[in-house]
Amino acid sequence: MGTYLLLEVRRTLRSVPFLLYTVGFPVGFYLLFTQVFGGGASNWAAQYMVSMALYGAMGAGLTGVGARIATERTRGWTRTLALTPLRPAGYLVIKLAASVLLTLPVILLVMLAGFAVNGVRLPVSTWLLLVPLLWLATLPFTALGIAIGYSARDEVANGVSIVLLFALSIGGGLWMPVQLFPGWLAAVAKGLPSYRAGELAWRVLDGHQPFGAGALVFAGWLVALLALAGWRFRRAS
Amino acid sequence: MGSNDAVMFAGVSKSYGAVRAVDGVDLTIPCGQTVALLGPNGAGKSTTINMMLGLFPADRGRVELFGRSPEAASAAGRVGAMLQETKLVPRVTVGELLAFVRGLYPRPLPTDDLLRVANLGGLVGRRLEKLSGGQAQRVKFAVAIAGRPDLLVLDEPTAAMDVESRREFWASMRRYSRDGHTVLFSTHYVEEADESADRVVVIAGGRLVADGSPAEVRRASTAQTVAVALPYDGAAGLERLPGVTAVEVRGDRAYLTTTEPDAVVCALVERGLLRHVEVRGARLEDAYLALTA
Repeated sequence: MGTYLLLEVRRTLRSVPFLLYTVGFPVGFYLLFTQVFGGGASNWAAQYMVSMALYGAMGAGLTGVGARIATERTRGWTRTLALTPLRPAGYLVIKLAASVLLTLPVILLVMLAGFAVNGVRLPVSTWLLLVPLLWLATLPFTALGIAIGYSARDEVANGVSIVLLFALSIGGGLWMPVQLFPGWLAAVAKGLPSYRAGELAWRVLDGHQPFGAGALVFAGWLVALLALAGWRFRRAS
Repeated sequence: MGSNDAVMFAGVSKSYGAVRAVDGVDLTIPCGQTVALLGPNGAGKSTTINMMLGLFPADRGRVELFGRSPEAASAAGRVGAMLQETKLVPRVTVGELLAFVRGLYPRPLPTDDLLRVANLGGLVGRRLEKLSGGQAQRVKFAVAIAGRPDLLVLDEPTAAMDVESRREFWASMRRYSRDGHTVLFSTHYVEEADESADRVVVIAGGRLVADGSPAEVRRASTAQTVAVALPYDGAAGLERLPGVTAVEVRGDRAYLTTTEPDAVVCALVERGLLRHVEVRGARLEDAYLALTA
């Protein structure tokens, strides 16, 4: 199992598009938007830092794992694996674990950019809390990616994952704060898992504990999307 | 009980809509045999293999590998397979892939043996997406045998290979089966079954139509061949002689397939065409064509 996990991580890191979309874009956009439109409160640099880290980690979960499962199913690779002692549930666990590991580079790099380039200064305990919190915040999207991966063929899964990545990240206020949205759109945004996932980290920056009333909405999405992923997985295997 | 048999099918059927792909198949394969599953396209070979491996459920009947369900046999690491229409995943080297697959099984083949049997010596560091078609087939074969499975299943493994690759492939397969492993392969090349199998199972229209050693299957057909020197005016009209079911011209001889060689020889005499006659039993190919007609 350990060998397989390592192989999956290595395989994914060898993919130039993966690195570009899930690491290059978030770091690049973060620096672009904070350097060009920044200048104001350093609060913005910190808030946008966790937003872009979450956007990148969501991308890793949705496209790096979900679409990958669809490709491997379409190529018949999962059928070959099903004949080995590796059971389908084991395959899924490896994909999940790889996803968790692969969200780490973007989270750390965006934070490094925040610290080194934008001079974001936070208590050590806050830095340390943000990493597991962003991991947790990514889980619903990894579950969604898995559900797509077990439902669609490869090109379709890829397209759907990318559309959802942008719809959810923009709609959830990761690209521009929900405070700038018109009222009706802000109301929609607050129902999305992406807003509620971001909220966990934004609250910590504001000095609160991460789990407020909005965490219930997040938990609801997490449970629903995990159930969806589990159902699609059982249907497919 | 039953665990001396690698494969056991009892009354297995499978339909796709109104089409009965596999129709009441009974088949037992003892450990150690090399079996060819021979049949034309659409005969039910792949469906049979997919049910054997537990990838498709059977509509009716029972399928067991080593006395238990196909899933349990796979989970125990006793099965390896090369399926049709599977592609390798990109961005992995041959060596990394084989190390991973070996790691999944309890008693894998040592890496050196694996590379030798599958003829992959110089390719260990090569990325899978950079392999030629023939090389990719060898890697898929290596994936199938990496875990040293007791039962190796190959679904039309040589379908896309040229003559030289096919010859090398069967040499690899025989290196593996020699060590006492059970092998089942499907093919529609009769000569592959004749040369590489202890036993030939012929399937047509979802049913077993013959089962035995290549020699036995040959004898099961009453078809024979009458060969004569090619008439001066060519082979035209030979197919209309009484009792002739097929005519094949090779070089300067005509080969007439028939179940009534006496009648064919008489007809050739009447027409003055009997020169350098030779009558012999069917080739496996003739038996196969007669059985699956």
